[in-house]
Amino acid sequence: MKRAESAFPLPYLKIDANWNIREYSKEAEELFGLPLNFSEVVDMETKEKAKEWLHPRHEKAKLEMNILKKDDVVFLADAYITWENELFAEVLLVPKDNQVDKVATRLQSIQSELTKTKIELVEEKERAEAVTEQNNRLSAPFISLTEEAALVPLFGDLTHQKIRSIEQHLLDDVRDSEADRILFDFTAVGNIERDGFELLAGLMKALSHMGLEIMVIGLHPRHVPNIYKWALPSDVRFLQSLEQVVRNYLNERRKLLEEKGE
Amino acid sequence: MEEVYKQLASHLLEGEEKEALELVQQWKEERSLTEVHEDIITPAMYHVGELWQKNEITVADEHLATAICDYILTLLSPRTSETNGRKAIFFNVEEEQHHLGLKMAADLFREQGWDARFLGAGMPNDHVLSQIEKYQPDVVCVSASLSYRVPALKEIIRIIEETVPGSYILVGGRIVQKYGMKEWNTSRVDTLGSLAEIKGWLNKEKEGTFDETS
Repeated sequence: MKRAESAFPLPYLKIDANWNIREYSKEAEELFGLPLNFSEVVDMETKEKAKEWLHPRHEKAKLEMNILKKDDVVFLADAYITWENELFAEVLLVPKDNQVDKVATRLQSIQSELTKTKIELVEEKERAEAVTEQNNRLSAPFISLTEEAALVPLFGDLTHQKIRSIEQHLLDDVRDSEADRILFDFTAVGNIERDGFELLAGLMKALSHMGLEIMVIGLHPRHVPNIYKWALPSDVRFLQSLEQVVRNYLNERRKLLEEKGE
Repeated sequence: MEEVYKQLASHLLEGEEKEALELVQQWKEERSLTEVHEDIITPAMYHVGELWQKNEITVADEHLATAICDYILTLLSPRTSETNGRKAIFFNVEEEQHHLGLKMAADLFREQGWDARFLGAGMPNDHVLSQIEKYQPDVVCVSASLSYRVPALKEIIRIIEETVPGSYILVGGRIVQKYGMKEWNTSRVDTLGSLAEIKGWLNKEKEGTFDETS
């Protein structure tokens, strides 16, 4: 093996058919040190490709290869190969402009930053969803008024998600209480969405089947067209306000007391 | 089928993202996401790799094809807010850039109702570990492609086993596809070499085969 006195400012090698290095340029020595065989500097993932193309059957070839430097760092290069005859080939390596690498690395780091930001956004979204869920669950507290009656004031917009969130705890509360009359108060209800409404109607129907008397109070005029259109179960009673319910209740009690007095 | 994935590969290499997306969406109308992944996208990207081996394209072309493929996968990804409550996290071994297979794996989990968090490529280990700590996943999925990442892969598996002993670790990527790595399997570590194997694992999980781990 001898050092070629070539004038190219590029890594140059002369190899035999078994890839043994016969000559090398100063630049090649600086890059690889002094390997005996060219296969030592071909990256593992490029070997198959190199075996195919670095062969006398391709008299002249240009191929992109990953090459290992002496510190095992991989770099991309175009290899220009010429077989002088069946026995010897000249290999000139032109490292690819590392500008591409720089751009690729920069893009990669931007992508990583974006992924991090996305994860942070997902975490924020999850926090927001948890707050909404908790908000929803608190939007229909179950308040016992007397032994027989309970008040469920509804708050905010009636969405499907909200009714889903309150449905279970409402059924549990009803089961645990002795109440046989539930007052749904719409005073603080904003918009009513159709699928939210239908789920609520289903819930009222279930309660009614459990033998409870369902009353709706505090309807705002703007709620009425939709409620009329989409229909609540037929046995639901409507009263104007909680005040009216309390007044009726007090009247009933007075009558009862008077009857007892007589 | 061959015609279709070659067509897709050609769109990806030419930078024709609109055409590539149309082609994939057309196929998705009649097929499941897994079929689109396995029959069209994966073979198209393998074909891109083969073209490099055949000396017909350059690494720069491959980068372009990968970027467009990534974009298409993002658009195909199933999005549902309702999950089964199980969580999985996905990341590449440090410095490994081949992430498309991992991204498809995350979508398989999502399709089955899992909450999947994809950390992607190029995340340093400490960031991955802090994410795992915060997210508390049931399953940690790690992928590596190039064979010289084996030591780094072994190391991160060891670290995860130590820091989150309760979680299940799935190892995939081309390393597993090529070499099997079955010797790494333990009661908490599984090596899976293809999307089909991941699907098989998910089905077994659903049937409760791994209940003792949850």
